[in-house]
Amino acid sequence: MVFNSFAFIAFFVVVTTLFFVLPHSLRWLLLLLASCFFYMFFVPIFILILAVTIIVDYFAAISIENTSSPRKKKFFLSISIVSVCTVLFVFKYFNFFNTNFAALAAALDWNYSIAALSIALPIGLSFHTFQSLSYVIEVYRGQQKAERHFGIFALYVMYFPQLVAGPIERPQHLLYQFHERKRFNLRRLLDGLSLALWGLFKKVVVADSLAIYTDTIYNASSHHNGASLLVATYCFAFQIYCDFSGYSDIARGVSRVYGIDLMKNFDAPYLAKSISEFWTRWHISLSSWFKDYVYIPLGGNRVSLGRNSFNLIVVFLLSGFWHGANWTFIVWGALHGAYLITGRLWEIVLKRLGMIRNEAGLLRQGLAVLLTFHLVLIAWVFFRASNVTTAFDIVQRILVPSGRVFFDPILVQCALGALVVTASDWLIRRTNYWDNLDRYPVINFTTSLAMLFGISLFGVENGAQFIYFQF
Amino acid sequence: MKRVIVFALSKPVKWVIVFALLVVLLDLGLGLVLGRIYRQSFTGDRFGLLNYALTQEPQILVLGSSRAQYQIMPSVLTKELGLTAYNAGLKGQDFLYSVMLYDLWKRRHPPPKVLVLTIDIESLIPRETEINTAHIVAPYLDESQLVREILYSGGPFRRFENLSSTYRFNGTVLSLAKHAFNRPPPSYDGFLVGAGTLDTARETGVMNALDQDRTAAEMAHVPFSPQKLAYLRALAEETARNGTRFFLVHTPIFRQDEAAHEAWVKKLQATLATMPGVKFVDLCSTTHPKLFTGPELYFNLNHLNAEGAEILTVLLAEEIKRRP
Repeated sequence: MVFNSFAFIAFFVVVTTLFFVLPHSLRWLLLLLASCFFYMFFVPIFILILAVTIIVDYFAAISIENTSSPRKKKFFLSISIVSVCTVLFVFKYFNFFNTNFAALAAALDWNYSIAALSIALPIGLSFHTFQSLSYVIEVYRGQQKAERHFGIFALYVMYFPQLVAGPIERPQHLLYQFHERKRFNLRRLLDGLSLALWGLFKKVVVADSLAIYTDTIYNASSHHNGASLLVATYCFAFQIYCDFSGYSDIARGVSRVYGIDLMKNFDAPYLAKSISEFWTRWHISLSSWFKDYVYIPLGGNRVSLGRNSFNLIVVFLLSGFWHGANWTFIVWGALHGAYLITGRLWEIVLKRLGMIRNEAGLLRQGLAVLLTFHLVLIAWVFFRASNVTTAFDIVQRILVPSGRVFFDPILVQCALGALVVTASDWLIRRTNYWDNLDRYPVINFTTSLAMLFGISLFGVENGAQFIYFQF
Repeated sequence: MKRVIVFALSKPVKWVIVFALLVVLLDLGLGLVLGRIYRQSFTGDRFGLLNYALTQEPQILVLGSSRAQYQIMPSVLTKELGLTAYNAGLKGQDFLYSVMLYDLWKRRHPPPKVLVLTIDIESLIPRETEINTAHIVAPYLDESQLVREILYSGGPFRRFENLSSTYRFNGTVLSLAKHAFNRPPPSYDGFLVGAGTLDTARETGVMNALDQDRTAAEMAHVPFSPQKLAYLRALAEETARNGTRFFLVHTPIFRQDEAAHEAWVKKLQATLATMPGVKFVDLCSTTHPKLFTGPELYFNLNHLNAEGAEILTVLLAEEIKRRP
């Protein structure tokens, strides 16, 4: 069941009505059953994988809390990490490693033949695996008490608004909210619906129309010129942003209706003035996960420049690999790591030359935004292309533009959509709009009306699946 | 009393009521305005041509997909048969669109003398995407029971979606802005020229790169949709009743899968045997290998160029002459 479907609207109406009709003591059960139903709408059997993760991590966390021996704590943590990572490896990465080993063996004339697994990737596997892992790690670190209520813990891993594409929540932020008594609040419900509507607008009006052009060009990339490939890459940059942030906004909006606050996952990332700032605004829940559980334990930036560069590249290679078992994602991650290392070096050079200014002028800020956006854009080519060779070919041809852009009338809607989203992002960030809706009732009323009719008139029907579902 | 109730409502409740009222009013108002503009648009490559076809009253009416639009020349039919002709084929559309268009058309005009409907290997099999693309007919929902029946058959929520007057114009607004109140030149007969000659390497490359849903071999063995067969039967019975000669025409594609074609024709002829009055005309590389095998007469893999279209239309005219 996807958010941009009438089936989801019907599901949401039923669940919301029951949520506020039922007493507090039964609401966790309702949300858990609804989450199971929501997940089983895709491939029912995959619920068993979730069940394994939930059972292992539930008992691992309690065992960690119950023992005082650091060695035993470490042992239970290891059991949790190894078991959930094994599931992730089998379903997501086995075939990738197998294929690459086979290619390496063939090159070295070795005898290696293990058949590929013909299994589908469960939707959102990387998301709920990471969410569950963060819980066990936090319990191990003593930052979170182990959840004794099995149903509530299962709900923490399975909560349907963020089950398949995040935000990847932390237990300290989400778990306690399931215990809180929520009263019906019409204003909160309307605020949540406005946020969900904005997410839906970004998905069906902007992302899905951009997808039409991107797919046309990228699916037959060798037959299109550099100019068309460049336009398609711009389209993809906004497509993936509107698609993913649209999903996150719907998730946050739907959750807000129940009085459960989910973390902000995007914060106008294309207005970032540097790559390091970009990563504090793009997929915040994942970048902060890597920061807390990989980057800082590796030493973060309180180490030598060489070691720090190593830490950065490890984190971004892992981040790329998290997205998918394909070299394209690894190169994408490596590029971002390289950007950050170059940024660090550049900062050091400027500092030594005494050229760092606290306040940059508007023009310099604008140029920095443009430069950052275009660096991100180059990396998106690798993210979108079907393989690394094609990606390099696309970059090469983009750098030598030739001929006219392949024009599709949908480009008009794409350009208008991207413009509306960028301008809105700037305003939303400036006013902290979604957290201050009570200050702007008329604007919220008018924009909600406009979005509703925008979706009705410009929404792409039967548009593409959310991109991040595959991760 | 009513006044008291309204004032007792909390502020958010009032907002909700006003919002709901505005949604209904704006939907009706916008739908009305867009509907007016829509019906006065006669150009473009989508609904404008649907509207324009409804204003035409030819003796030979050609219906179908781009295979009709690019390949059947009304001027040649007129020259060969001495009857006026109009090509109402439309890119991206197929059988269901043609059935709806004919239903709307016959409400405005007397029956044509000849009805030509192009058909290919995927026209009669069930296809979800076909109803989605046929959504351009939605502004005529209130006019025809058949249009409602077809568009609502696309899913359990279609009826609900189309309750909205503005939703019926989904995806057409920018095109409306461009084509509002435009008319094609008086000589326009619906035929679209496919210029140039097929570059086999490029076109085959693009087609291979784009992940095609189903191959001809697969489609040939998919059972026909009962819904589509019912519409075809109704059309056959109606044309027989009105004295309209009904031709179902298969047109050529480059590198046709001969085995798939043979299986499909067998299946189609078995079906048509129960529908008296429908004349099936097969004009492709199987029936005319010398003409339609090489790339010279095509401008892309699925469509003939102007020269090929002229040859095909002459062949069709001969068939119409030959089969009373």
